[in-house]
Amino acid sequence: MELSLKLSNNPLLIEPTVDFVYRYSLNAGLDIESAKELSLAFNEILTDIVLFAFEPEEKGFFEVKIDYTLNEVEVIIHELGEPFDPDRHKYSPEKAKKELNFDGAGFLVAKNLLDDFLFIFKGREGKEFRLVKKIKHPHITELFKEEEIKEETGKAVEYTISHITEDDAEDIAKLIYRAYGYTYPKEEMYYPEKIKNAIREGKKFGVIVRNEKGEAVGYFAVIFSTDSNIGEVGEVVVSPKHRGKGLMKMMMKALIDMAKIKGLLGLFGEAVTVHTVSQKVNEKFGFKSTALVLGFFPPAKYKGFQHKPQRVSVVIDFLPLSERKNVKVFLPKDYSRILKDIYKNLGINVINLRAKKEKISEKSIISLAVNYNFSSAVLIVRKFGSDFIERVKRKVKSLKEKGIKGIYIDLPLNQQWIKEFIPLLKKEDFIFAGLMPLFHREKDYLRMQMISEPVDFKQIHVHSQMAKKIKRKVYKEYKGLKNVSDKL
Amino acid sequence: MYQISYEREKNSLRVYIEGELNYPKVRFLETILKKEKDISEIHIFLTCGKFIDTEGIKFLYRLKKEGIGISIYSDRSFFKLFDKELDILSLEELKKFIKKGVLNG
Repeated sequence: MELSLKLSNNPLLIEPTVDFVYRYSLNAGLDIESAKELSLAFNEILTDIVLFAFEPEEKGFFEVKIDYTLNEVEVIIHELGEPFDPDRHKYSPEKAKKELNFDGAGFLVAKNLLDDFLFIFKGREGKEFRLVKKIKHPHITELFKEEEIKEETGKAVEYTISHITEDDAEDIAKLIYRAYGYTYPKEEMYYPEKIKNAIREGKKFGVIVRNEKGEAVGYFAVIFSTDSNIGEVGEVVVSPKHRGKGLMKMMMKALIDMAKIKGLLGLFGEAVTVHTVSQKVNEKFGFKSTALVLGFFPPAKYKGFQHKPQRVSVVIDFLPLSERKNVKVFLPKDYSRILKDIYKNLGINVINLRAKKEKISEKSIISLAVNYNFSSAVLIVRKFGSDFIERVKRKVKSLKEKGIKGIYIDLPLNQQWIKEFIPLLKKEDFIFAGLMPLFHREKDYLRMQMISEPVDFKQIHVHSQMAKKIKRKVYKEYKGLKNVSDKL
Repeated sequence: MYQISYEREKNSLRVYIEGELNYPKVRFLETILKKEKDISEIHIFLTCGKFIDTEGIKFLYRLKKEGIGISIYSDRSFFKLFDKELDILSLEELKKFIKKGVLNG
């Protein structure tokens, strides 16, 4: 549940706002120690803003947003005060001791107490601070002995499938550990408490399969998107001894039925490309490939597959659950053909709208979603403005400085300015990724991506004809990148 | 305005603070010290306080430099975070200089 506060630069507001962040963090699941550390870090940044971001007599305002996921609490502070370069305010213990000059002390303390800290200078749009503290819960291996978790269930002749409840959390974590060891990319799946919270808070729905002894042997869940009425078929596991028995099919069918009942407009999967197993399953159930997202999460070793370590790329597979015969969008010239093909493959007829003579707004609206665990970030363009490219450049610079490896930008296909900005984004080394159907606020988006590390395309295995076509397009643009073509 | 009260006994000042020792409270304490001359030691009782921020630490360092003895009384978890901060800021001597009293066991 995101909360937003608008505050003035009045020192009297420091304490109640810090108290609020502390209480919110505890409710979100942080332990007392972590909540105190986050509150102190927040207090440091807040005090700096109140004291230094504005002229002494100037009345200024700034915004604080706070939100949490199963893994972390994030506080975002956005202000339009004077420009500030943290590198010029480095704390020196010698200066502190000799001259009582504590410049930069607050920043240093905040950085050290947080799990992630991001500072973004946005030029005329001000500054943004992102403060992240991870939620600690016991790992499944801390709750049970290794033998207990790894104990393999016997062969079954009868299976029962039911909707997941909070009581299934421990069994789900055990299943994940048994099937994947430590390689499952969604870390929260090793923490029963986090699984329990997600189910309790209605962030996901799913099914669990048990054998006649009641032992859990399969699990599959859909995670609700927070930005659109769609869901991700994002968590799946079948106990090794029960594979090849049709459990996956049984679970997927149940999930699709549940998603329809819940009124979701579509389901999507982020299928890894280290192998094509998940892509084949998705295809069997009518999912269509729409994008190839390079280096989406950190390198991981997949049991039973030979591959060199590189960030894992994913194919976006989409299953429409509501009929859309025609879609009217602005197709950028360079991607008109491939987007038409992707839409056609989804069973949608696309109508390319002509841009009208209109004046563009001055300011763009761009949201930023950072996945600190995956070291990736998506810029979501809500509205194009004349400052668009400058804003993107600044955000990308900050993200790169922070060491974010996967940088993506989602562009609304229902706004005519997309046609103008694609060539400019290409100049900034963004390349094609594909179509993200209904991904934000029930609208279609074009995704582009920026490459931070060389990609070995031979290790990217895609299955469907459409995925192969998208891969060729992505590769063609990748080869054309200046820093890549020099090395090829 | 802030939850601070104090009492003086000869050259010793006992300050009772509810909440954090942060920028607004430091400003308040500075005005007290301007008024109360010739203080040689200060006892700070922090109740319901989560932390002392870097403005508070700067204030304490200044007191140390001026030769004023400092004692802080709070709960155990409070000192854990306080010590961590002083380590981050490489202020070991302040850590040694301040006398600590644990409240509520």
